[in-house]
Amino acid sequence: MVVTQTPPRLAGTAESPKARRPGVFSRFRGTTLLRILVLTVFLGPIFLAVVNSLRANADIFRYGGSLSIRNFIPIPAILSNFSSALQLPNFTQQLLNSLVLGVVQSTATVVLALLAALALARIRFRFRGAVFYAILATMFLPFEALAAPIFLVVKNLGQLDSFWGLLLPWVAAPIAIFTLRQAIADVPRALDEAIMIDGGGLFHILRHAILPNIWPAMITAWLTTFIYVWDSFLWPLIVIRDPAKQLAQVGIISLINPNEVDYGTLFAASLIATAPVVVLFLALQRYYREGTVASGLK
Amino acid sequence: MTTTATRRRKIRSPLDSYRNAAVLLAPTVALIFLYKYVPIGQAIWASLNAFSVAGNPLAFVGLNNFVHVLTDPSFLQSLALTVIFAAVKIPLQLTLGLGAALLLYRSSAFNSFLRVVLIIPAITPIAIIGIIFLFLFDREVGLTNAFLTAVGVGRVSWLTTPATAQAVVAVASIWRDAGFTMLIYLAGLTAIPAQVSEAARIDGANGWQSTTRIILPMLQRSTQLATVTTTIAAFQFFAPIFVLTRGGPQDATDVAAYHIYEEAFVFYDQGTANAMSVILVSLIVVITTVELYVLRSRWEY
Repeated sequence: MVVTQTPPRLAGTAESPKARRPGVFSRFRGTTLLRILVLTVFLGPIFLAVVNSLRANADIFRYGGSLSIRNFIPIPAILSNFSSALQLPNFTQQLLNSLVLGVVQSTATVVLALLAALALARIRFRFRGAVFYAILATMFLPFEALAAPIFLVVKNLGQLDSFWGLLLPWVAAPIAIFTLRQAIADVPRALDEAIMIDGGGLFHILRHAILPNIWPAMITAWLTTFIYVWDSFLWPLIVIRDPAKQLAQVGIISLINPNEVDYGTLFAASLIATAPVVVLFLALQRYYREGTVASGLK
Repeated sequence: MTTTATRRRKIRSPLDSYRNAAVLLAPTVALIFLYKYVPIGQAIWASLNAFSVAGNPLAFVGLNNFVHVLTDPSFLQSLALTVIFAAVKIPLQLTLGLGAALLLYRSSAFNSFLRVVLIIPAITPIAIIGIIFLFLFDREVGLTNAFLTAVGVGRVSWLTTPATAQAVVAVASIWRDAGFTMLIYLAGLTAIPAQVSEAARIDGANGWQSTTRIILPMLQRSTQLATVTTTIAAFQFFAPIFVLTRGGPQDATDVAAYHIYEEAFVFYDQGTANAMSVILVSLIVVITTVELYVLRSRWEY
């Protein structure tokens, strides 16, 4: 059920003729005020994070508790918060860890899912249905809630405090397998047959029939995995003890000194740690969208 | 026909090979078994054993952990808190997500921009959402207290007062996830045939009527999906609690996921923690199954 939903379209979506026609939605047209409210509520907090990353803590404490315009405009603006964030112990190392894990896990997830999906969508073998449903069933279990038992398994395998402990439990992702299996199933089988008549094997089918048609779905799966990895918190928090091996988005939290929060540096570090995922999302939006409407032949 | 038949037989090989299937599926099947099925067994096994603080099993204790956990007022309270949290979050977030989808459905440059704005919190690392709300509700420099001071109410210690701490955590969670819900409803709106809304308009339905009587029932599938995903998210809600309140003040935000985390990784009681995990996961499975059934779509289009 969850999986048959067409992935939603995002900003910049090509207008459908339906959307242009005046219909029942036209009553929502004159609601600019509401739109500005949405903009303020959802962008406001992020805007404040940016503003406060650009000023000294003294100014944050001077203007922060008031509604004066100075609270919202960072004058004088400084960049020293960013340089002190980058000089925090382990922070650049943790950023690198996050980037490496993000790229490796997303890529490995897509490759593994592609192989599995190819078998599940194209190859006829006994128990195919059973294998597929055994994989699919794990998609519906809330594994964050199972962190404690997964932790025990990882501990018994000696993977605590290691890159493998972060990567391996999540790299076979049923959602990615399901997405790619659907994409492969949509590629006409006639293409396989044409390639086999020409004497091609499984690799040629993958290379010349499947891949040219499903790469948007692969980018979708890659991006979704990257966002998921970048969001992870509980798992790295419990698996990694050595600060030099921690991820940036988790390491940042240890910078919070409850007695006196250094918001300037904290926000600078937060923005640095958020930038990669936001940039990737903005850059790949188009592919994300194409992946969702992929159909027909190229 | 006969030629196709012979050809079919000749070209069967690569797509009929057990070996190919086994090679392609081996890594995935091995990893899924090791990291998904083994932990489920592990959870059940661990919940039946007592553990030392070092994490080593001491003795088989049968259902003792479950008896202990289900008679532990603090765990029962954290389960109740989680259910209340979900019961507050789901309707508010669905209303907000649906409202945003209806508001931003039509194509325009501003709407496209706003859709991205709503998604940004949803892709921002959850820990950083915690930092943003730590600042917004900071007693001294937070924007909320700036407003309250301006209208003469005075400062509120948001995160150290139980009721307001619960509110802050709920607001943070809804603010974060509203964009996801909007995406689900946008996809649902896109799937509604244009003729339907057209027909409603011709029949003289006004905007409110066509929204409540036609659009909303046709979005049943989206509502079902949004409810189930929001439920699962609510029951696993963890990071902002860790950043903002650490379950406090006075256990006011000690939701189940945080409670289990403390049991397993602060107090190192793996037996109890695993019994709690089994209970929480069972609860999620039961509740989402009920939701899937109750909210099933009675419409086809």
